[in-house]
Amino acid sequence: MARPQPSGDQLAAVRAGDEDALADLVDAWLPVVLAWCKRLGGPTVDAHDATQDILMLVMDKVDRVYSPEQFRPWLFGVTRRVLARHRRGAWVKRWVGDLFGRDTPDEANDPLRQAELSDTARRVHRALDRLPDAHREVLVLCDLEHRTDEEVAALLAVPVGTVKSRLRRDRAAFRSTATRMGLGPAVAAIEGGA
Amino acid sequence: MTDDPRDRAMLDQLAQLARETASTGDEVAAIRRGLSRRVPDGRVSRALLRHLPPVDAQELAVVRARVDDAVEAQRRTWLVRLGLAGGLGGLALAATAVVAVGAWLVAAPVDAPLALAVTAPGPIAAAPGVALVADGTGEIGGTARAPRIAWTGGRLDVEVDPGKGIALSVVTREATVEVIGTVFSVDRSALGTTVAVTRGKVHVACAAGADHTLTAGDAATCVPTTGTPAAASSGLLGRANLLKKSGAPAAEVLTAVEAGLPLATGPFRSELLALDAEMLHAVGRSREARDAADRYLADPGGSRRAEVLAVAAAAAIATDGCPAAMRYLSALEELGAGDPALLERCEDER
Repeated sequence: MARPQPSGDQLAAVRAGDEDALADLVDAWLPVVLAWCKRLGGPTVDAHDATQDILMLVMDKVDRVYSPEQFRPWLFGVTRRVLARHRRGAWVKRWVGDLFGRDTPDEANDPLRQAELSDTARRVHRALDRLPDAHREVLVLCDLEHRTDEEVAALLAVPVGTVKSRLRRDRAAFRSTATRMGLGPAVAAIEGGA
Repeated sequence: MTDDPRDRAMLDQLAQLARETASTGDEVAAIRRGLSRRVPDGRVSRALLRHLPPVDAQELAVVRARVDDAVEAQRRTWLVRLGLAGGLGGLALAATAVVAVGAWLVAAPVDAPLALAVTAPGPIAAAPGVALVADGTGEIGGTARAPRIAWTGGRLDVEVDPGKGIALSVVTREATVEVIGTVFSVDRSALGTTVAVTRGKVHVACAAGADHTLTAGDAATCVPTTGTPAAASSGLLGRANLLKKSGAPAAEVLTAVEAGLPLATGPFRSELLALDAEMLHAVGRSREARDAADRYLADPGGSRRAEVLAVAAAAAIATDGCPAAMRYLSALEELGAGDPALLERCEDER
């Protein structure tokens, strides 16, 4: 997957108020943020809504970011915080209802899109959702998005060694959760035969 | 990467989730549109204001005071307006509610355009007076008063409220189903489109030519066709083979075969003749089976020669006894596929 790379010039232009540069930056990172929202947000979060919220924040606060190296972990941090807020909101909505419902139907809430995942993908999604946030992040960034340990370490602002040890732990945690949920007879068979 | 086989299985499943949650062009476009609606116009102003020279503090205070006065004046005006509007609004609301309830009770469905893709199983409220339960895929178009459903596969249960003037049609590749006020189902698979009526009356026009008017308890199947005779016959050959493979009754296979034979030429005709002979013999029409076998065997190049010779021999024995089967049995012997014992028995009877 081609990953966008913000340049120092682009960030400088954005800080300078160049609306085109800002729009280019948002366009380049929109697919990445959307994929993060789908994979890290879980089935209860509206990924489109969360993506819009994140990018609104990016547009508002990106002038605080001065270097490309700083941008990606900053963006991931914003994504993480917005997703946490959406997950809390989804929990509240489940019990209290949507007190501030939209007046107009939003194509992002199209129920048909929720049903487009295959049965396996939907169950894997639920199994991932049951993991704690910290477990889920490394697994998604390493094993779904195939980022290198160094990339993930930069995103999470942790040492590379920490990423490796978290990945081993997170894979074990996911396997355990997935097996309890009845996922992957192949996984269960291997476990039994191992 | 990992050497642990448990991890590899898990990674395959995660890879599937990754594929299915990758961002699509449509989603990206939808989010861009959503963002463009949410970004306030003032964003442009704020970006520009950063580059203006610093404002004199006294001037700024004067401007702020004027803005505050204007805002307060506007607020007072709005309070008065709200008060008046509240009173009038209450009266209007009550009147509107009475009219709306009355209109709803007698209204025919608004003829709004419909555009909905069906990709997941479950009930669909497509339009007032139309209840659908889908277990397949298709697209709902047309209007609320004349829904038109293009159904590509699976089952669709339809209920249309009678007496509301709703003209619903369901179109598949094989059939057009038109209905006014009834309950029916449409099931499309590789075997064709089957329409079954629970209540009311339904007209079914099959692309292969047959038309049916079905009432409660009736069902009809339109066989696959893609329009040209050659394509239609190949589709019917496919249907016949599929039916045979799935263990369908010979009579049903025969129906597909005989529908395709008049349209077929070349290898399709040859294959259909072979199946025709086999199925005719299976349903006890052995004389016709032998005729079909003879037509097949007239072409020396058939790839199912041995099979058809065996059917012809069995059919000949059933109708006219062993001597009639001799020529088929001898031909089988020449192909190395004969039954020497049967051949000897028939020779003795001659």
